[in-house]
Amino acid sequence: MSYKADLKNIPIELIDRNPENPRIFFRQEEMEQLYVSIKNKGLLQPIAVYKDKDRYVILDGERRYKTFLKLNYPTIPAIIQDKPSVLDNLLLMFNIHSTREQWDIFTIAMKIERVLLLLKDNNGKEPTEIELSEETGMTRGVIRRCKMIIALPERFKEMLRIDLEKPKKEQVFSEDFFLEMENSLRAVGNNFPETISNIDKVRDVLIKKYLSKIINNVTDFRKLTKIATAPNKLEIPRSKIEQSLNSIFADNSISIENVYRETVESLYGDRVITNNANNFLVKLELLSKQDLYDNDLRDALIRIKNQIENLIKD
Amino acid sequence: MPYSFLHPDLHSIANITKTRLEQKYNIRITDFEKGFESNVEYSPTFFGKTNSHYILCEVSTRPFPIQIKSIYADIQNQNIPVKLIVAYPDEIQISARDLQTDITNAKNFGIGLISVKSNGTLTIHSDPISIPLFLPQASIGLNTFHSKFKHLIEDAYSVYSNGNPKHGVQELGQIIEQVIRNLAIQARRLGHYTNGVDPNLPGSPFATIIDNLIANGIINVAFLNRARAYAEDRNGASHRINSLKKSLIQEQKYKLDFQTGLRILSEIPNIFSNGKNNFKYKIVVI
Repeated sequence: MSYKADLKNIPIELIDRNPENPRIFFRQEEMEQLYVSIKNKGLLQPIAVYKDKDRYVILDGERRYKTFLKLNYPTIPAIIQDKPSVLDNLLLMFNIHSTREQWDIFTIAMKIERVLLLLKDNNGKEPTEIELSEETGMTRGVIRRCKMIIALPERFKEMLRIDLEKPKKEQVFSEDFFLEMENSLRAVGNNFPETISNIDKVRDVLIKKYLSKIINNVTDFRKLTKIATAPNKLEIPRSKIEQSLNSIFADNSISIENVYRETVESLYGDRVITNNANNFLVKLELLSKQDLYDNDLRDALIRIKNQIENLIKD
Repeated sequence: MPYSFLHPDLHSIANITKTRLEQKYNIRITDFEKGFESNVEYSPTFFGKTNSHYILCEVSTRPFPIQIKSIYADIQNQNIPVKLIVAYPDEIQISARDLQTDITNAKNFGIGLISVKSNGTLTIHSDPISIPLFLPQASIGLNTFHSKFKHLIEDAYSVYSNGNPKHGVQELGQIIEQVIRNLAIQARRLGHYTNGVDPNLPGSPFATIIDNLIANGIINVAFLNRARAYAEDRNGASHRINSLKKSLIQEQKYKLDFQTGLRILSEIPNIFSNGKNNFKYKIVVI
C-alpha cells in the first residue's frame, strides 16, 4: 500500500467516524486526561483521514477527534490520505487500532470474518492462519479464538453482541464464557459425541445454569473438559462419565463443580501425586552419596522416608 | 445515543440528571456534547438555558474532574452567566479522602454537585453559583475583619452565595449603616457633632447623618462619601431579568457591590481610630 498525504486543518463538522472502526469507549479518566493535555499542550500528532466525496473519514485519531469536539474546536489538523479499498481500510483499522486500543475479542472476530471473506475474494482461496496473522497483526492464538467465536450460532453471537454493548457492570456474559464453553464442548464432542447430539440444547442448558449461578465461574468449563477426557487418562468406566455428562447437560441443578468433585477430582489428585512421585524417583536415582553431605537435602530425604514408612505401615 | 465522549457507564447518570435539571430549572435540554458559546473551549455533557443563565452539566466519575478547573477559568474569562454542575456516580471509585477534597474544591468554585446511585436515586449536594457572581470564600479574607462584624459578614456571604446576592449586598449595607449611625451617636455625646439631625432618632435619614458627619469633620470625608454612595446604591430598584446580557450586568454589579461593601467595612477600624482631633471612636454594631 502506498499513500499520498497532505496536512490540513479540516472543519470538524466535515469529519465522520470510520465505519470499520467499532465504537470503542475509552475510560472516562483517560478521555479527561487527553482533554487537559490537548488544551494545555495542543495536538502533538495530527489525526489521519481519507476524503470521501465532500467529507472526511477517520483512519487514525478517533480519541483526538472526540476530544476536539469536547473542546469545541472548529477545526482539527489532519493528514489526508488516499481513499483505501474496503479490504485495505479494514486491515488499516486492524493494524492501527486493534493492539493499541485493545479491541475485545468479539469485535476482532467480527472483523476477522469480513477480512476472511475479502481476502478469499481477492486471492481466490481462504487465507491460512499464518497469512491472516501477517495481514492483521494478530497472533495465531487470537485468530483461533476468533474462529471459535465466528463458528458460534448467530443467536449466541447476537446475545454476546447485545451484552457487550452494555456498561461493564451490567454485562453477564463475556467472550471468555463462550470460548471456555466451546472449548469444553469440543472436548466432550471428541470423546462422548452422543452426549451432545443436540449441541444447541446443551448450550442453552449451560447458559441457563450460568445465569442461575449453578455454574459459578467460566473456568468450571475446564473441569468439564477434564471429566470428558478422564477415561483417556484415568481408570474410570466410560459409562460412569457418560452418565455424569448427561446429568450436567440436563435441565436440573447439578453443577459441573459437584460432578467433578464426585467423579474424577480424587483420581486426578492421585494421578498428580503418582506423576510427581515418578519424577522424584528419577531425580533420586541421579543422586550420589556425596550429594548427601548437604545437610538440608539429607534432612528432607529422611523426612520423606519416614513419611512413606508411616503411610505404608498404616 | 447523544454521547460520544461520555463513557456508557455514565450515560444513565447523565439521563437521570438531565431530567431532574429540566424540572428544577423549568427548561428543555436538547444539546448534548455541543459547544454552548463559540469562544469557550468546552462542550458540556449537556446544557440548557433559562432567561438568565446557561445551565451546564458535566458528567464524570468524580465531583471535581481534572478538566473542570480550566473549564471554569475559560467561562470566567468570557464573562458569561453560567451555572456549572457536576454529576457523578454515588458509588464512587476514589478514596474517601480524595472524595472530600473533590467536594471541597467544587464548593470553593461554586460548582453544583449531584450524585446518582445505581438504583437511580439522585441527590443534590449543592446548588451552583453563577460564575460571574461567584466570590471564593478565601478571597473574602473573613479573618481580617473586626471581630464585631466578622460573623455578620459571614452571614451576608452565605446569603449572597446561596442564591440571594441582592440581600447579601443589603446585609453588608446594613452593617455599614449601623456602625456609622453609632459613630454619630458617640460623636454627638462627646460634643464633636454639634450641628445636624439627632442620630438617636430612628427616623433620621442615613444620608443626612453622613452629611452632618462631614459638616462636623468627624472622620475621613472620602470614606463617608463612599459609604453614602453605597447606601444609596443598594436601595436602588432591581430590574426584571429576561436576557443573559442583563443577567450578566446585574451579577457583575452585585459582585462589585459586595466587594465594595467589604472594602468599606475593612477600612472602618483605621478610619475610626483617626477621628476628629485624632480621637478614637469605638466600633459598635447596634
